[in-house]
Amino acid sequence: MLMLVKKAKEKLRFDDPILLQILMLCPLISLTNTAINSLIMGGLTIIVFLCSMIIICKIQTNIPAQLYLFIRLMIIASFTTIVALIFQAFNFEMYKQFEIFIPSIMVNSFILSLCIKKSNGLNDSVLLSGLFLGCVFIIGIFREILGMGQLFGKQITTIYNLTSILSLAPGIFFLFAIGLGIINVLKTKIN
Amino acid sequence: MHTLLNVSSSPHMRDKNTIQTIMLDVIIALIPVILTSIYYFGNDALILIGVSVSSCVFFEYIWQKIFGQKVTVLDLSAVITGILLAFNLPSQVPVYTVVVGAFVAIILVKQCFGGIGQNFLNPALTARIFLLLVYPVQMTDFSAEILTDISMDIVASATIENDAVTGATTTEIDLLSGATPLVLLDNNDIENLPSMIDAMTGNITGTLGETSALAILLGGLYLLYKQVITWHIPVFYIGTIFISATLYGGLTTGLYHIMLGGVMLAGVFMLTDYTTTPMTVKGQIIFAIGAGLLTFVFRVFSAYPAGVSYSILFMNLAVPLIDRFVYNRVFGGEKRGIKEALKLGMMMGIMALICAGVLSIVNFVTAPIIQGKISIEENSTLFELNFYAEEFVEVAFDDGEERQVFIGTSNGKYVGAVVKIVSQGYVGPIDMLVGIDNENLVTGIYFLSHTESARFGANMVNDDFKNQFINRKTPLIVTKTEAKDNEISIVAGSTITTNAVVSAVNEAVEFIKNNKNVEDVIKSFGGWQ
Amino acid sequence: MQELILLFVTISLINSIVITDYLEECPSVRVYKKMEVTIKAGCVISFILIVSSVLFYAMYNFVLMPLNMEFLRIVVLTVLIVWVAQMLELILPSIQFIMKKYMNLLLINCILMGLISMTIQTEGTLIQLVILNISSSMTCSIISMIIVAIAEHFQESNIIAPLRGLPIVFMIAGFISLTLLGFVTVVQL
Repeated sequence: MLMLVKKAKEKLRFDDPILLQILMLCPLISLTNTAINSLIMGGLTIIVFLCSMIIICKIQTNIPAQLYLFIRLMIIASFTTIVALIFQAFNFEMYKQFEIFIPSIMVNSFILSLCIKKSNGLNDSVLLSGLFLGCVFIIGIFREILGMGQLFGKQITTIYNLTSILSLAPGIFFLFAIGLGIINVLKTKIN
Repeated sequence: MHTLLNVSSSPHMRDKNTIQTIMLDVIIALIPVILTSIYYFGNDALILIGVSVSSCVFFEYIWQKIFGQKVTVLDLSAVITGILLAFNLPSQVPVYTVVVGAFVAIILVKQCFGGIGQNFLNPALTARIFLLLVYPVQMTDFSAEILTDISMDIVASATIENDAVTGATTTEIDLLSGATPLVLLDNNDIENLPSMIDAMTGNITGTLGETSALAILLGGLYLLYKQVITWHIPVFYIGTIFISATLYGGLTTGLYHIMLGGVMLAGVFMLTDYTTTPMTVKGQIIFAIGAGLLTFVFRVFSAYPAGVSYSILFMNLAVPLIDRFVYNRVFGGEKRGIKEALKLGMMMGIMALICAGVLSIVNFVTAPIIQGKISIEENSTLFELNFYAEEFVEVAFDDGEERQVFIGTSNGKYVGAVVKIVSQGYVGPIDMLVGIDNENLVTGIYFLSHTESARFGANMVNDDFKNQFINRKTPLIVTKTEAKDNEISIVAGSTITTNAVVSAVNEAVEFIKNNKNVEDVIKSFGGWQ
Repeated sequence: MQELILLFVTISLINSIVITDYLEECPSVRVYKKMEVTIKAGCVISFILIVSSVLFYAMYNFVLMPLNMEFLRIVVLTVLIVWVAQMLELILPSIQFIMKKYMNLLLINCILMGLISMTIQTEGTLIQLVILNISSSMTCSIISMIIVAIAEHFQESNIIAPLRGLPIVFMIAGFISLTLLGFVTVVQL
């Protein structure tokens, strides 16, 4: 597990602090209220991300530098539209609930694409999407169990009012703060 | 180099003794309010204050021990936070609520950011809104053991609809669900408000600390005398609210607005917390006026008792901005300072407007869509509410009341009716359909639209509340306990909403039963089957 | 509505974090520059959003609708935003520094907010679209300014080591969202 994280650290552009911070905030932007929601959101995001990376990696040698951003965004936007349309056709009821999160899918894919170094595109993309989906899913499960006492809709524990704050907006922020604090403590202990 | 310069942000306290003296003064100023709260709320108040203070002190001690900091419990700031937190809670909250609140106030708001002098939000108020989010029902349960006879009458008359609740005589009522006087004020129900004297001395329902304006004033005067606080913030805050309320509804409204709902408590004790106020006098005045305006806007839009808390927290958030733009020595030059301050003032004004704008626009946009959905739903719901009808005919009765009546027929004969009726809920009008069968029993209710608060009145649309109405005979009565024969149990935490719904149902059935015109119409459809 | 609050606070949070770069380095001159950068970034975002939403409205109603190609709206809006941003970078030299350094951030903001307002408001007048964009971008900039101001405040304080830097900013954001959440629940227009 640690080997994987180390490998990820080298390959992806984790040295740039700005991107690191943006990346860490990715899961926040999607609404990870329940495990299933986060799974769907994460899944859609990495579908869009992987599809666009395939094309971008193929084309990127041929584009002049100024148009790089432009082309990248256009490809991601197109794939988002495609995914949204397919979703709409498949299951209109569910689509109505997720409609407002389509923009965040697109922005998340864009953020993810910023982390990929030009040289070794596809392998890194797969690695990154795996990490992303994993994180989102874990956060979703966490929030669902603590926030609503359910898992995939089945009631597991009784709802404690106190932890139900996690299912609301302020809860995630506090959770992240505590989590990052714990990570910092671990970091100092390891060094 | 044997002394290190101590760099810190405001307030710049030099040694522990000074902090302790100031805190002691504040505690002395709080004593009148403590006494009145114990007088009016009995043992509950004592327990709450005791638990609150001890848990606050405990949490601060634990944190400082764990993280190896100097234990500063003796500077009494945690004690004050404990007392103020207790003052913000209704008397009937369970003990664990208080402990959670203490945790939030001390650890999350104060210690995480570095201890005394470092918090950017008022700890007691932040704990209050946190608790409101997490324990909504317990935090709005203003029933209380009222100790004096006089107040029983007043509270009983303040909650007029509860007359029929248990049929109990006035001498026997020991648990009264107080619709706080704030709600009455919001509905401009001046006659039923407690008298001015009672509002001043505290003979009204509310949280522990906000009832007695007189006691708070005494405390405030003591603090002014001891020069712990300056007069600017309380005067400007209370003054702004008073002036806006008077402009809004007249002198009595103005006076009532400052007596009720914790304005006094906030103005004297909450807003004047050293660390969350701007550093300059100009900034403090802007701060106080801004908080006053926001509070009043909250009051106009809803009678939520925590409106004061939210507006103060908002302004607390803005304090660093105010500081940055008003305290301008570093930039140098008075002219630039004024321009910055004006810019800031404009921004403050725009901030609330913008948030309101976003919300209203989104609402404006979604409302027509929802309306469209409603009219579709209305049609199919009519059939849901009245199984036997095959056809519905709308009949108009021109008596000026806001209702629509749909007569249901089967084979041309009357089988029942559905009445669309509007009633006034806690926040706004509730639009509902009441189904009535031909024996004048209620077949069910359906909510078309409402603006009740989420997690409170909005729970009335849940099936377990609506199902209580099926096959019931009116007149129905609201009860807080298990519902018996002709009773409906309330939606948790929302007496007023439930009362509104039940009275609407009663009214609808009365209308169908007794109205002469309705009788004629029904007879024209072949009478009751 | 809750989701909107979460989104706004998150956007502002990202803005303020990126612009203030972790807050651990704090030469005092740079402190005041951070607020200026925040304000300028807010203005740039608002400007891009307004112009692109006007153009989008025109394109949507006069080109896409008649040709029955509404599904292209996401792509069209994205293209418009990027185009306006790059035009701006070329035309106005005074903000080129900000644009270059924070281009990704600005684009993320604009796209997110532009797409959201497009989703909420597909039919309606131009004025509504513009006002929605202005209000959302200004709300986000004001929240970012609040976060930056508060965070500046904490540079000299004795926060315990694990919590220094990023976690404390998260807690600030948590409290802001708590307040805003209550505000939204109470004021039901």
